[in-house]
Amino acid sequence: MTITKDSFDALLEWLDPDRDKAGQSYEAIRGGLIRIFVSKGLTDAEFYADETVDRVVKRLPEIRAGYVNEPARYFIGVARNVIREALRRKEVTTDVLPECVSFRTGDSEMADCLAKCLKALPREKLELIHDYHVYEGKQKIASHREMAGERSISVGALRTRAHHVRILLESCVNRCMEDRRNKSVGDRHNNRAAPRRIHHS
Amino acid sequence: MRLLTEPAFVAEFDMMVDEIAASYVAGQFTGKEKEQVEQYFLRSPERRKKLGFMAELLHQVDVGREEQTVSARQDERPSFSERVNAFLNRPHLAQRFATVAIAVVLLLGGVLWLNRSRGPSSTKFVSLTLTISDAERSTTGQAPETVKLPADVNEVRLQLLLPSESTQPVRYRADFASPADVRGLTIAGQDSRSVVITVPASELKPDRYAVRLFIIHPDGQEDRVPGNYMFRVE
Repeated sequence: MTITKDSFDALLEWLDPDRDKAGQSYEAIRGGLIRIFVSKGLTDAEFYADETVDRVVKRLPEIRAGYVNEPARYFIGVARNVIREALRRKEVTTDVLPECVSFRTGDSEMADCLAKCLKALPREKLELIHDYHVYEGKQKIASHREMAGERSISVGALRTRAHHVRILLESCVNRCMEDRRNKSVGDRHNNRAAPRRIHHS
Repeated sequence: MRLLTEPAFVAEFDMMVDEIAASYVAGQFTGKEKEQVEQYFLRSPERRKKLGFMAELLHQVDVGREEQTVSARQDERPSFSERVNAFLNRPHLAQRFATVAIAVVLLLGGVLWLNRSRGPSSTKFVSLTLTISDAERSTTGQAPETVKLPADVNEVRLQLLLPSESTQPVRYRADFASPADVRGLTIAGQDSRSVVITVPASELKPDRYAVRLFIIHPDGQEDRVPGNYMFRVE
């Protein structure tokens, strides 16, 4: 199903009368759906998130008048059905064993991009991410306590800061890898700011 | 539901995902737990991509750390007098008495050799005594010690006072936390109350500096002395 502008506007209005808040709510819901589908092991979680949104938009004219709960709750209900159907399809059509989980380091496009992104980090962030990940086990706990003390912040706040740096790095790496792919293939760079719509044939 | 409506919960969830991936990379999961992580947590391509990213990040952090350690270890190669000190400080008394005479001869010979090879007082240095600070690196806090470097000075000697007296036989390593690109730091000496490090004056431009000190235990374990030794070059 292809969502029209009017039906998408109706969805936003249902989420919140304030359009900005509705937009934020939509992004939060879509992000949450993607995380749920990833956790369930489904391939292409974004496809299933869009499928869920499509179904909600399709049902909205019927349910809107009588539905009194939080809209997010309705999305969850639809997502459950989507998951059930997807897993049933997997059970029926295939019994593929999971691949061996392996990862190589040091000699890939991602390695190059990450090295570039680490170099581009401000010194304080680079030191933080280095020091945060250098130890394991008890040493890690002690080191994190020390790092937090030096910065006069809690260990929880330190953990959040390290996480933000990882998010920065991941975004940088993804952009770098996409740029390389686009350069080699010669495709136009997709604009990811707008909600992604997948058109089913 | 909370994943769709609570940003703080979503952030916590994302951090947990990163931490599980990092723990898997570090080999911290074994047996049944490992199987469950592989079977459930790592089922989707997105999670495997995350795993690949965490593996690469931890690998590059390790490489970066090794490069730092090698560079610091090259700087802290024991000097002739340090080696003699270490030899003299061995615990067995009989050995001590028996080797004092030899050590004196060696020291005298060493000093004479050094003087001959260096020529008349070629090293001009300035000294600074620093106490540990728990202020943030290179920012506010108590005013750091300040030093001016005349043009003919070729070395800065920093005496780092230990927060508490050391009673165990340990070695030390030091490096610059900020700026991180200062080279040539050497551990010149130590006693139970302080560690002396030297830095070529050419490495120190007008700036604020923070030095970190690490204790190297006999088993090779390193512990950082909490805080930084701050000073400023004018």
